[in-house]
Amino acid sequence: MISSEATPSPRRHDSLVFEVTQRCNHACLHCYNAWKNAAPYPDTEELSTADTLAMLGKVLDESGARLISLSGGEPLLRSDIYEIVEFLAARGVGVNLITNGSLLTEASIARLAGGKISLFELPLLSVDRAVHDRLSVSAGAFDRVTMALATLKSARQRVVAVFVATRLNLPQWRETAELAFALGADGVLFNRFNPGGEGARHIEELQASPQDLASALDAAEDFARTYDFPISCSIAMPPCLFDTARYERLTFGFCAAGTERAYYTIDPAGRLRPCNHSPTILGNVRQRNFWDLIGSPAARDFSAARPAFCAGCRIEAACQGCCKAAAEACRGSPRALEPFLAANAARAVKVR
Amino acid sequence: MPYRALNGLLVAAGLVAALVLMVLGADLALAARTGPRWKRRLVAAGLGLLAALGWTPGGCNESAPPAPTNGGAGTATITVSPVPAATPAGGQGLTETPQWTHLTATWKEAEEVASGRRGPYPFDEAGQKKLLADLATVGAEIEALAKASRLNEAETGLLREDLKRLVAGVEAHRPTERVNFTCYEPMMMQPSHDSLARLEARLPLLEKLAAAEKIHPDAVRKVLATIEEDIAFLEVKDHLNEFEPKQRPAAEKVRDAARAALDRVKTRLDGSAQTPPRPATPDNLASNKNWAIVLQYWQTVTPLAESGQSTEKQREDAEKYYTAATAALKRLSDAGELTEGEAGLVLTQARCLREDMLRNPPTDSNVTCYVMAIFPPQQQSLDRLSARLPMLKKMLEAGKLHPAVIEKILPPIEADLKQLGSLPADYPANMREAFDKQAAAVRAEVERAVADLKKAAEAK
Repeated sequence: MISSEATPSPRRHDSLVFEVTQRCNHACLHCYNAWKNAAPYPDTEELSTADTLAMLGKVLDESGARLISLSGGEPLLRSDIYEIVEFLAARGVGVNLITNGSLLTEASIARLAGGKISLFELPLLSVDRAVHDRLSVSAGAFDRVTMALATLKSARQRVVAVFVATRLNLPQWRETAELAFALGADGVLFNRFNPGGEGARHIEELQASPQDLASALDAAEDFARTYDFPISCSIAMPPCLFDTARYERLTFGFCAAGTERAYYTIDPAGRLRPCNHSPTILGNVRQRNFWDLIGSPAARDFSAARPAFCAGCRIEAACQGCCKAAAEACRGSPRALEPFLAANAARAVKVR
Repeated sequence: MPYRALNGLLVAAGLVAALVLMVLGADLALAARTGPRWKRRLVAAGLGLLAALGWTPGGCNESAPPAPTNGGAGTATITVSPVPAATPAGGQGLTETPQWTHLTATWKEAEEVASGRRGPYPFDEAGQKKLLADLATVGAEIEALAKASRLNEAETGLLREDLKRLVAGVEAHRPTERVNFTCYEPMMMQPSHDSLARLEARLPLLEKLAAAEKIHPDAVRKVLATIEEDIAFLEVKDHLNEFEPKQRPAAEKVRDAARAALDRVKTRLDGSAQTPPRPATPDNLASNKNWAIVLQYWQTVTPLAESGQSTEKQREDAEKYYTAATAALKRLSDAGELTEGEAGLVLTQARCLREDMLRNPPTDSNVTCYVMAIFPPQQQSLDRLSARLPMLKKMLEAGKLHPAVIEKILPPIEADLKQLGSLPADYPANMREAFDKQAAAVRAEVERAVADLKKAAEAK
């Protein structure tokens, strides 16, 4: 019974992620890339340019997606990235580029500008270059990303700075927001460290306490209000640990698995996963129809997964137990309690 | 997806069954509640469709609630509304009670939400809250009706179960305020021209960060250039006239305040570029304990190396400091606090100091079999410069320059450049010729690197 004929209407899935390469010139401590998990991930060779564009064309035709986020690895390490961007722009698809900024020079920005990229997402991990470089495990990363941000803004591009909140950089959060604002960023994503991949090896070192994160949210609310500056927490902040209703100026995200805004992710070989954090492979979009894959038992199982801990919580269905992909990556099952929630379960207050 | 397909088939078959029963003159409402489970499901499904089309069993009385029930179905239920119980003799009819009226209205709305017919974001937060509150009231109403014997036990049980399903369905849908709530969904940003209004606020922060040398001066200059463009835009009268007349004074105020702040940051930036190389305090190495270990070695060994005079004990101590400094440099490099080039250059210089210290025998020893300075000073300088050159290049490539490091490594390099003349005349001509050729090449490269380094340091 599972066929493309049985898919819901309207048949459009707006947004997808394409991991253009697994290669990266940074080795971030908090990196969640699925291929860095302890559990093996299939070897992935990048497709040729022609095959990549054919694969993207097929999935765009099938899904009707209007927005593709190019991620990695570091997307700009791929020599045909400009051809990929040109192809997507020619199809009228919005493109977000998630990059560490190290390879964004004036020349590369000039090639990407002109409306081809809707939004650049760059990490700004600390106002202190030593902390930023340490988290990125790349000397000079801070100076490169701040220069890239300034250059992007001088080219009138839209840029969001991403702050991954860890124990190491939370003390500098407010000043880092100031830096992002001063450099002209259009907003900040305040994302708590969400373990997976390499990050799973650094949980103790990086995972901040709910109290420290709550203080940072207070500072974020104040900053957003003072400067009329958009700040969004796209990694779910568990409502059983944070009273998100207190923050009028911040926006909060929940896991989108199974919804029409799910962040289906395609790896360089065309394998589809439920999101960029999850290691679950639903199948290959080169061989199978997109709708068949997202309607597959594996996809449904992922969407339906909830930790038993959440039973009885009023918003269980909307929250989905926070980040099940982190649970899957670090604890082996999307039904397990994700690491942040597991570490703080004793403090959690179910929403009744 | 299979459930949808199954439901479709069930509804179609149910419709046929209901029509057949109608032709036979059977009571459809009764048929939906009695008999085997498969029959109840089938008829209920058909009646559901008929009800959706506006037809209800027992006539076309629109005020009466539709009859189909879930009929005890399992997961593939097709529930449209609750079952009314029979009216008790002589009493108010169930369908006339305010509880029932509220119950059916709420039920219908919740059913539409839960089934997805109202779309993925069927209400705002207030609407969701109200619907959930209404469903809670419905729960109480069911119990009240059951207590008053208006609903029998089976009907009450069915309604309770279906109510749970509706509540879960309503809770699973997100309100319109959460349309953009999704992991890693990129932020929807305000247009960039909004940043114009933020100029006044941004500049003091930029000024503060630039003063604290938090950002590379080149990045600050780039930001300033962008802001200057925004200000210049506002200085064109035609552009200013694009604002509404009442907004114009505010725009002019922002422009003037931004111009003043911009000039302050530029003055500060230009001033810092003209100042001579700073002491080791301005960058984050000043408070770094690993860098302190390196400095300790430097301070201990430099006088011994320069004087050529050291005791056995001083050498032993210096050796310990050297080992500690080497490890500290590795840590600085691993942590990214020094670039590979910087760390390598400092290490090379540390080795040079050590060699200089060891060049002469200890002053408190009569042993004379130490390696003596058999190479002429020119050769020593050439060796040292050759060893430093790759590090200098790496350091420049990395583009990260700590004033404290530059301060340490430039003077000895310049001293070696000064010392790098031709070999003494008593050396064989071919050796001198080869040396001169090599020295000229190394000198040219080192001088170029040093000039670039100074230029970069001045820019900082």
